[in-house]
Amino acid sequence: MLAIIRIGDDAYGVSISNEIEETTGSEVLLGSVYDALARLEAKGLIESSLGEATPERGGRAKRHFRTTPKGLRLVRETQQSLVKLWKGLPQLKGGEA
Amino acid sequence: MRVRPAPPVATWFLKLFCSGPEHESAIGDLMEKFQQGHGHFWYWRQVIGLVVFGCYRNAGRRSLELAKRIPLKEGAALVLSLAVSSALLLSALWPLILITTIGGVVIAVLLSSFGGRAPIPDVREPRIVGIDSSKITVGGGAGAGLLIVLLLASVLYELPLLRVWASPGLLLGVVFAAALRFWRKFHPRDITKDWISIKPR
Repeated sequence: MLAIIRIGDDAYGVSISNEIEETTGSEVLLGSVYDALARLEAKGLIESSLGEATPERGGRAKRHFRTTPKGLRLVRETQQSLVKLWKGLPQLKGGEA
Repeated sequence: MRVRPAPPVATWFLKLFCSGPEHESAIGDLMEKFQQGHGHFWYWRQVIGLVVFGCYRNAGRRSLELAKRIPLKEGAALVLSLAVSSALLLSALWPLILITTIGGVVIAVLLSSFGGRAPIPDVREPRIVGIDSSKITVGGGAGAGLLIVLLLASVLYELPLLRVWASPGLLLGVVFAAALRFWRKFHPRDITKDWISIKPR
């Protein structure tokens, strides 16, 4: 979800997996990316539409993804929950850990 | 722009399992990323990932019935063709692979020429009846799938021992299946069920 939001309008399988790889520093399987996207779409958190086809894709169309209002709301709520959880970690105060 | 050809066997394997329109964009993404300079090993791993995750997703969508069975002949043909195709990658043993493939084709032709199954005598013993071995169970299919995964793993991870034994193992399996088939055909009354057990006299 965060990768889709970061990329914006050009979010499709390759750009999403590239974004995750650059951010995390580890390689991802396209299959796992598509699996996650399918689950998010089934839950109504993202939506997709077919885009243009190019020769290097073997003439196959891109599937562009974007977040729905419901998905954006859930991201905000998750962010707030995470911030609250981080604030409650005493071990990380004062740079001890 | 010059398009780099993807590994053909991997692409065939991908199309075999992910042929629906919902997979088109994923295959296109794979092709596009491969053109960015990734190697064949990377391509194979991505293909297996797409197939595994795709199958997992489909299995979740349709409720998999454990009792679901497929006819023996079609199932065996599918497993044999998948196994032989996997073995085709074992380039060091081409002669054996050629024999295996030809053997498989000959058996398929013989099976189709001779028609249906040999008649099984009516067996009254209570311990023997009750198993319909004319179908492949889900467990059998899973076992065959495991064999295929092992074969693919042997190719991907260059395990020399598996490479050496995979093709002879396949060849022996084909020979055994053919021998059992002919035994059943010419000795139908000696067999109580079409697995391996012979009726005691």
